[in-house]
Amino acid sequence: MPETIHLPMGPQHPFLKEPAKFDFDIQGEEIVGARMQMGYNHRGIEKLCEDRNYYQCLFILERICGICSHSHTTAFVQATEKLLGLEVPKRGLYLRTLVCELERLHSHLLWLGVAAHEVGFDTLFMLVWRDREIVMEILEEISGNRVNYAINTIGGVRRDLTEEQRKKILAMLEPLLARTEYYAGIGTNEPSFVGRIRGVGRMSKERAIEKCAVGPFGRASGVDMDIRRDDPYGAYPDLEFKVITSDECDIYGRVLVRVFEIVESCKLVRQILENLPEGEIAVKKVMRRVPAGAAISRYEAPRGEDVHWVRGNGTEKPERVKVRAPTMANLEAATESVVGALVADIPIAIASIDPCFSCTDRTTVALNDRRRGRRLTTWAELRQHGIDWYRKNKGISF
Amino acid sequence: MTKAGALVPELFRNLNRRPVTRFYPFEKAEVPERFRGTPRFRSDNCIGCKVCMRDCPSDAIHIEVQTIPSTEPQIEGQPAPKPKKKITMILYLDRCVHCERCAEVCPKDAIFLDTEFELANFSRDALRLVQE
Amino acid sequence: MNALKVALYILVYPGFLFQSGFSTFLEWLDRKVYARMQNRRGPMYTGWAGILQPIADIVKLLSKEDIVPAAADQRAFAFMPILSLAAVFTAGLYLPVWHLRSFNSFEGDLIVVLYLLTIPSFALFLAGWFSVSPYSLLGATRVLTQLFAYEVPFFMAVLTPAVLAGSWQISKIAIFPWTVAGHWWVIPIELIAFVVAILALQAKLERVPFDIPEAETEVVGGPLTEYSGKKLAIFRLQKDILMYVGAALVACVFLGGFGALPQGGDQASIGVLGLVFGGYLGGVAGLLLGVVGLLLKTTLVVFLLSTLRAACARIRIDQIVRFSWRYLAPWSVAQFLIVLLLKAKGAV
Repeated sequence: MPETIHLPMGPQHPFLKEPAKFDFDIQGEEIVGARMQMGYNHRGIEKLCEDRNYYQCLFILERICGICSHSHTTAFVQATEKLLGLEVPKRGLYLRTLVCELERLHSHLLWLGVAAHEVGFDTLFMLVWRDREIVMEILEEISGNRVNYAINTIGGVRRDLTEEQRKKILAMLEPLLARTEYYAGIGTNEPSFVGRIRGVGRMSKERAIEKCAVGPFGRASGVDMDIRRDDPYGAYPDLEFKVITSDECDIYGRVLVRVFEIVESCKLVRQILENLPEGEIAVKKVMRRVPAGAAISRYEAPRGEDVHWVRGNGTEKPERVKVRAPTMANLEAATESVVGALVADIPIAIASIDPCFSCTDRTTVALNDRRRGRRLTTWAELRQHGIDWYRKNKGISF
Repeated sequence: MTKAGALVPELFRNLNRRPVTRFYPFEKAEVPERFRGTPRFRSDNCIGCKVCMRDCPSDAIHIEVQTIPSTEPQIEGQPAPKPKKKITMILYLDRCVHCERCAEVCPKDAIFLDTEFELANFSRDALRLVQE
Repeated sequence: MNALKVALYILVYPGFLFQSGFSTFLEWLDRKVYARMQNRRGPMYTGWAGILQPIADIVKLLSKEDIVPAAADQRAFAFMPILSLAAVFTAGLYLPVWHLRSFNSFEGDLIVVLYLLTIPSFALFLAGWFSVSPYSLLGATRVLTQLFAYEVPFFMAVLTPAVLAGSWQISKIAIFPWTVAGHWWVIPIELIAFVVAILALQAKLERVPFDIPEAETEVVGGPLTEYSGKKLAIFRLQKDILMYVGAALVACVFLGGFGALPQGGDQASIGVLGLVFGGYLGGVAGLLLGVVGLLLKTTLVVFLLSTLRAACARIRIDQIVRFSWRYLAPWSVAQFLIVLLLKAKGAV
């Protein structure tokens, strides 16, 4: 029996795009235990919302995450509209859904690039991101900016789409679809890439349901669940689309699900643009005081189900906003799926859920861990340590 | 189903292609028409209602309304000349999130967003824009 | 051979200065080609099209703070970069870039070069071992595991042209296709061994798809995680020179080194490089053509390595062991058998 070594990964590690801490017990290259710790990205956004009116909350919540910024605002706006009893005009719903699907496109393309980078396939990473620019340009055309679209408002959307823009975007979709299909082919055929993802990070259907896996991660394990179809919102009741699932139960399955969702999203965008109804884009007069009550809103973000819960108390400010990001649901399952794999599989296995820690972190817990002989260091102790170290090693006195 | 070297034709095509990287600091990026840049202020339009201050999510706007007594002499029998209002907008660019909410709520179109985006500065004072 | 001449050989050409200069050029080329394949621009601003970028990187590293972990073995930690640089640099001296024969050439120098090229791997392993960090240790064990995977196929592949030429001397193997005894078509015959050698060289250089020991997203920097400043700069330079020596070795052994076009004639008339124009062309012009020919071939090998780097994802440590023993080793054995058969038939 080889010796068990403790391998810490994070909070700063090249495979993590955001801080989180993973602890692995390894025997040689095999992983026998995995734990994770979050809380490095806690920014108190939920608390900030309690101090601001609903319109201000919209822009604060948009900044929860850079990739799925539209998801969080849509989920929040839907909950608020429920509280207010607003009927959003059809065109507003369609435009909102258009940005949803474009966001899914760019998020999945981004993920494919990141996944390629995690297994050292930097060429695919660069090329995918090059062609992701098409989506970014479309989003810029619609909303003005690349990351925070600020397109949602309570009761509709803020910016209309002109006829010229509609035609321009439709023309840009052609090369995008061709490129995504090409990358779908590369991602599922290139032997060195497929060799790294096939049979790795397995998560059976039963276990995925038990661990509440959502989104593409769950669908890749055969959990046929998609909020767009099961609890439709926005313009989805009028649209036709397939829910992609896979029975591969491994990272290969997650790649399959995501690349075919990209293709499906391209088709959805075209469908929305071709059937864009005329009319108003937003409700003209919206009450600033939101009646007391609570509403929950579910939304299929690119990473899975995003849940916002809003409680109003009859004032301009919400009493409580609760955000449950999809990564929260998937993270535990992903950590579990690493056990039994090799060290080399850690980055891609964790990245296969498309983790977003800034979406997830809602709290920071710091504990003195006596069992492992670790204790928290205070700021003063850290400062003293620095002073002592420099005096001892470099002869510098402060 | 796997195909060794599936990417190689694309690689050799790319050798012939112009690189897509932009020379950013030397070549300015083009921003779309609808870009949300720096909030600008037209004081002539402003009525001092401070709705923008109320709705700014990051507390980046401050509107100051100064009343300046009129310098014109008062004429007998006429109502006193109205005091002038001097309205100043102080914008804290380090806090601004460029959401365009101020321009959206302004009843008189006194705020609009331009397309300037190179706003970084080493000094915090330079990020405090006073617009009259 | 007087001492001054030897000093010139060692320090200037084909020694330290030439090796450092040309290997940094190769690194620039590799980075540029890799970038262009990804539709990027690559190095841009240092010198013409960024050609001095690798040198600038090394100079910058030299000026950085040098940190040695408190738990590390201080002396061994400092010794490893120098050992590996010295090994590859010495190996480079045996290559016939200078003349048909290098100044210190002897029968059996191929074995010496192969041996010297193994030292960097061991130095890297020890460097990782002595720096006592979990990532370094993981990287170090991976270096050794990988060494067992690629070393045998690499030796077998390089053995083939040696057997064909009937010599263990690099210069004789290099000139063999252009002599009366040999034929130019031995080059295409050795294709399988050439492919195996390229793949094994890529593994030796620890580049994608075989950059497992220093896989950035897994073990941070592998054995070099704890290295910084001057020591890291020396390791970087060593890596560049290793790429040059490996590529030049493959070019000499498989692509005919100095030679360029098929040509008969006796050993003496080959002289330096009459081959390009079919006749005897001695003196400085022939020497220059020969050098340019060899450097072009080396560059071609590096271009192939860059393409390989751009076209693949990193594979796992178990996959490389399986790959090299299931494919590379049998291929090189098959190539060896083909050569033996040709020899027995008297065709070569």
